[in-house]
Amino acid sequence: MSSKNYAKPRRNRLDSAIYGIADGEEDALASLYEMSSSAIYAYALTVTGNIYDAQDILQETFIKIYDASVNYVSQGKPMSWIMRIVRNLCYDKFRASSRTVNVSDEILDLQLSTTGADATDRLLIRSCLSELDGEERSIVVMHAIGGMKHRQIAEELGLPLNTVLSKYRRALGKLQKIIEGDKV
Amino acid sequence: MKNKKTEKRVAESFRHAQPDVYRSVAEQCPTRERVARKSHVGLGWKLSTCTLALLLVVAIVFGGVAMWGGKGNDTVAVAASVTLDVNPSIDIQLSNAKGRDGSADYRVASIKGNNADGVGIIGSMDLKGVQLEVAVNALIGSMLRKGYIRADANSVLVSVDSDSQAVYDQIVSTVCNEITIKMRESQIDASVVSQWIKETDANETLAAQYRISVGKAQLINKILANKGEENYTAEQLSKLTINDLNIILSGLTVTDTTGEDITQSGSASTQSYGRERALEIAFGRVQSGLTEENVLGLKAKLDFDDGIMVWEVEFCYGTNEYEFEIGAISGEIISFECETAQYTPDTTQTAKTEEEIKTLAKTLAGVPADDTTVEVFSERCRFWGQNIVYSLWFSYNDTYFEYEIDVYGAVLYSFEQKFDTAADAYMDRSEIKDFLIEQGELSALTPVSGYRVTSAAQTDEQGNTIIVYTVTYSIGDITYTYTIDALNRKILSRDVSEKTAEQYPPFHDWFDDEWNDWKDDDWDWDYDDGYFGGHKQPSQSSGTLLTEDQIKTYLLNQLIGQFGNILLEETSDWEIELEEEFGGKVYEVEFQWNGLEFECDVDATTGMLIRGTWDYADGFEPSRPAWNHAR
Repeated sequence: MSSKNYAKPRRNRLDSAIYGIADGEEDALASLYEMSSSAIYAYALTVTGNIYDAQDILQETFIKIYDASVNYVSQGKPMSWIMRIVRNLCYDKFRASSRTVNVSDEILDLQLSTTGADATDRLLIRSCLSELDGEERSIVVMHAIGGMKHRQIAEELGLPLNTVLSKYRRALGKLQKIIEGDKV
Repeated sequence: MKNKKTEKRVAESFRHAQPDVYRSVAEQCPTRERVARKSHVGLGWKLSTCTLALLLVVAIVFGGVAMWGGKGNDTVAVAASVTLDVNPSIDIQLSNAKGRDGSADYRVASIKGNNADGVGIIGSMDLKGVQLEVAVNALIGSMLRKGYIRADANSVLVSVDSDSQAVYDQIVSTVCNEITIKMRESQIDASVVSQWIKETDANETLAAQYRISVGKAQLINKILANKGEENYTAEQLSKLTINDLNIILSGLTVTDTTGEDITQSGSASTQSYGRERALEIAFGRVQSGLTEENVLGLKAKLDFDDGIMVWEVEFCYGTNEYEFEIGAISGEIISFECETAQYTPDTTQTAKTEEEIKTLAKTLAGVPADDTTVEVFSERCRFWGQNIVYSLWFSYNDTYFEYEIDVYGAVLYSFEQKFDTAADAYMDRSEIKDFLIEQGELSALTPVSGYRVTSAAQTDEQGNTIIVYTVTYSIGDITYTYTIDALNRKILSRDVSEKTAEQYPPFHDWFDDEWNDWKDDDWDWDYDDGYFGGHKQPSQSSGTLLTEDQIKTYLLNQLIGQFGNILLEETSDWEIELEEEFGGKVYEVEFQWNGLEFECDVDATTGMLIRGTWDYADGFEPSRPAWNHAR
């Protein structure tokens, strides 16, 4: 029988990694990258609409987290904190480049074809960008990839919980149709 | 579960497209040195002291090297460390390169900022090897230039960690003297709080929890230990500046003399308003000559609102209930609320039009009759019997006003809140609309309604205080909300919410979604691991060990209070092992009951439950609560 672990071990893996980065723990950065990079990249890609900006933001987010980790105080919602950083970086990117959000569908597809995404992956990603509105995209990424709860997303986006739930359901419905249409 | 599959598929797609930039990130974010932070000073500091001393001895023996070249010193030893806290927090590790005459010569061995402000203060200054007083002079000078130390914020906390009283005295004297001189150059009288760092778990835990220096944590613990009836918490205090903490410290009667090691010199810039003065301000606002004897239900407590110390004052007078927030430093009424407790419509009066009610509200707020710039928003908010009550809101003179006024002109409710005008120093409130237009967020030609601006101090991701405007307005059914960093003229967030019928799904759909969401994500995640049994100590007796059957019976009896009568035959999967733990003999017991898995420690000689946890057993799924689907 193992000895009891009276500390709460499961909830705070992201928090632990952020604190670990601040405290110089060897594997903390790798661990945080493993747990959060997909959500960061997906969010950045859905907001910026091009893979190069998303890649920049992915890197910049970790650098921001690294810098900010020394002052990090957990509010129990580390993914919300991370997403806020990503969101601000996305806005900074827009302001810096003064350009509109999306590259064309074809160019995005071309860009995606240079990654490990297959045709179905590319279709789904492009659909996320073209078929879903901005809030739907954010909600899907935050919940399905970032693992955030609908309540947290509602807080983060300043939307009523019901709106988040209905938008989420609607967005998944649209994606479901695309998946079925493509027989994924 | 169709949704789960879709989610998984979407997540996979993005994952496949994701580039691997870890190597590049890792190169730019090297693992930080596990520096002997103040929070880990204990053994770590001593080891690093020994290591440095050893290195120095080696250097001297093999090379005859003087540590700080050209100084002619012949012995060097790490002496101590000192932390300066204002809001910037800076750790300085000191070496003592004694001169030939044996006098101390404290120099900087290493320096680092504990927070973003501290890092900013150090900037590109290379202070390694310079004399302590020179370093302090440079750092305080930088804090003065950057506005962290001002006439109205003149406090510095100096925390010294040393093994020797003599060394502590020398360092405190040197540092305090230098701070006082440097601040006097700027015509500021310094108030320095100095203390000897005690390496206690409480200080280190608090420091780690709120990411503050151990010195600040020790000061907070000192305040908490002596707070008497005051309503402070560690979390609130951790957000305050040293000047605020110094003010609080000045007002305390220090009864906890444990490790008495704290000294204050000078006075913090602004003395806070005491209870008496706060009451005087509140009573004066209601009616001249009002005193404590005239009111009922008086409550006054010092609290914190967005990091600002405020007096919260509540009382009843006449038929009204009053609530105030009064700045403990500024003495200004930050918010004022008045609600009538007894209301009878005066139907003898002539009913007023909505425009007349708006004019009345403006008059109550002190808006001059000829001022046409104030736009009053109103809506019929409720009925009191057959009487319409209007809700009105508007901004005037850096204050937000809300009223509820009935159709006869009786005021049922009023609320005023001062804007935090600190933001205006960076960005004028009146510029905001233009700023949003400039940013392409808003068209100059589009009429908006419900335009409202509020501002507040907030803490950003780096832990710095920023002033943030929150702007809300509506265009048709769409409401836009922005937060703007006033200092950097930067939009921090934008949200758009649309009022549509679809926004509110039927309740049963919402219930299903909520339930599925909770079950999929939360039920074994948020609410796992119940704890019970407290944290008792096992008996130290060497009495006879209880049998396993006795343990089972005793344990189940002790769970009745929390779980009801658990019958032995309803339980399964018992595992019982004898261990030496917590200074005595303990049975570690596991069993399952009703889909729950229990893990308990039980005193092996008395059967007393020492502590226990429960969790859902593997494979267990909660049953969905009944919901009547009839619409």
